[in-house]
Amino acid sequence: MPDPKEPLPELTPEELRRYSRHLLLPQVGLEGQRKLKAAAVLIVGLGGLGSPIAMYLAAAGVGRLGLVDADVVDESNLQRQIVHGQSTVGQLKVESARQRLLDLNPHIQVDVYPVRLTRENALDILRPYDIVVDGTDNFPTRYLLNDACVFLGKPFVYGSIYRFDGQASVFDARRGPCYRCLFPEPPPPHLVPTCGTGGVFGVLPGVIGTIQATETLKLILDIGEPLIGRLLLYDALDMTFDTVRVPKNPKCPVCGEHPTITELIDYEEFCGLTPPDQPPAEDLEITPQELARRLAAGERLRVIDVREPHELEISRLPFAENIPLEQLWSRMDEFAPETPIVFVCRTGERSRLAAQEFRKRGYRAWNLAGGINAWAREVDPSLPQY
Amino acid sequence: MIMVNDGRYKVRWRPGMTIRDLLNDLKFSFPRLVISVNGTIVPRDQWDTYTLQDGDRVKVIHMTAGG
Ligand SMILES: [Zn+2]
Repeated sequence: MPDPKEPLPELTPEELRRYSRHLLLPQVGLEGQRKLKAAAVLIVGLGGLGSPIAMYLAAAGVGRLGLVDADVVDESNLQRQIVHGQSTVGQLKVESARQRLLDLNPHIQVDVYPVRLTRENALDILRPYDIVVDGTDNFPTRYLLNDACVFLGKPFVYGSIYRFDGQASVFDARRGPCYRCLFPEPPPPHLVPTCGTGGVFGVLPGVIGTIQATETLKLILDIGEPLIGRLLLYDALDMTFDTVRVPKNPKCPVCGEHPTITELIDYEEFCGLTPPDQPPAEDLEITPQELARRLAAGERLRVIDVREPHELEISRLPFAENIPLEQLWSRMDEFAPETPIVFVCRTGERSRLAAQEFRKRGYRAWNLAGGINAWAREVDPSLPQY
Repeated sequence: MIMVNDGRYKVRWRPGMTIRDLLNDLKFSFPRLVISVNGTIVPRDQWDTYTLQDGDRVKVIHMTAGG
């Protein structure tokens, strides 16, 4: 929160006009609007969640916004990442967002960090900000942000989404539980679906990100009941909101009574993403041309398409069997260890997990590099890409 | 009767039934699930000892990564 000893900044006549509807609210008013102007908020990830978070905080007049994201805007982002546009495809997301935010509100300051957050840079990037808002799309960064916020004593406004389901909470270890109190450990990586593999309903991050923006503004203004110690669960299909109470875990390794984690750790390793027994990715990959050559040579191999059945309606390989990834793990005994297996998905991301897990268990498994989209580009242009 | 996820699953209650028993009955084996009973999270290290009462409302919550 802004330093209470510092005098709050004055609002200019233009700002008074712009924020009129806030100034009319007794819970905001002139003093609240000056608190917003004095506040600094860091948004990590400028994707589905980060888009509405950044836009509403900018519109509300939060004086300083920091944006962290190393990615560039891709056309497939625009179904939900509304801070970006067709004209900024290919640009850094933080640059694309900065332009949009300053157009929305030229009275604010926008700092950009086109980097991946790491244990080396996280504390320095977070330190100047009062509140950290979660727009990340992966577990390692989320645990990193949580731990860094516990160490720095900053509130962490959490949100995450998958398909039609969303979650939000405010973690502030000084006043309640942290992310680790709720989720002590991540699931193993081969069981973690992402929006890139499982899909996401485009409006879902709009709902969750707007809730995160709401909580952030409430924290700055010190109004209402924050989501501290509560997890909000949203189901877009049933259209239900539910909150469950989250107790602080006295045995929490980072915010508990006897913490065992007292500095930032290797979060990729913690999330199981770099286990030492993992074969190097390149040995696992087979190119579309190589697969085509081996099939044409009549080689005996099984091609397993791990996509979900509804994706096969878009494109399919006639020689592939379909076993969706979720079912694959319980059907491993249907495979003969001596028969080569090539796993396929849309882009090679899900199927790489399948190939890795099968390799670990001694199967002769490969991953079709670039997935069916690469096959469509390099071998069979009659197939659509998606 | 135990109502799971707002009635999506209904499981017959029996005396002494723990959260672990309920998950076994449901055949839920996904690692890192989070469970709430009557609106409060129950930590994993209490699943073997926490006994459910007839009519308890249980919520099975998945960790999600997307953003
Ligand atoms: Zn904690």
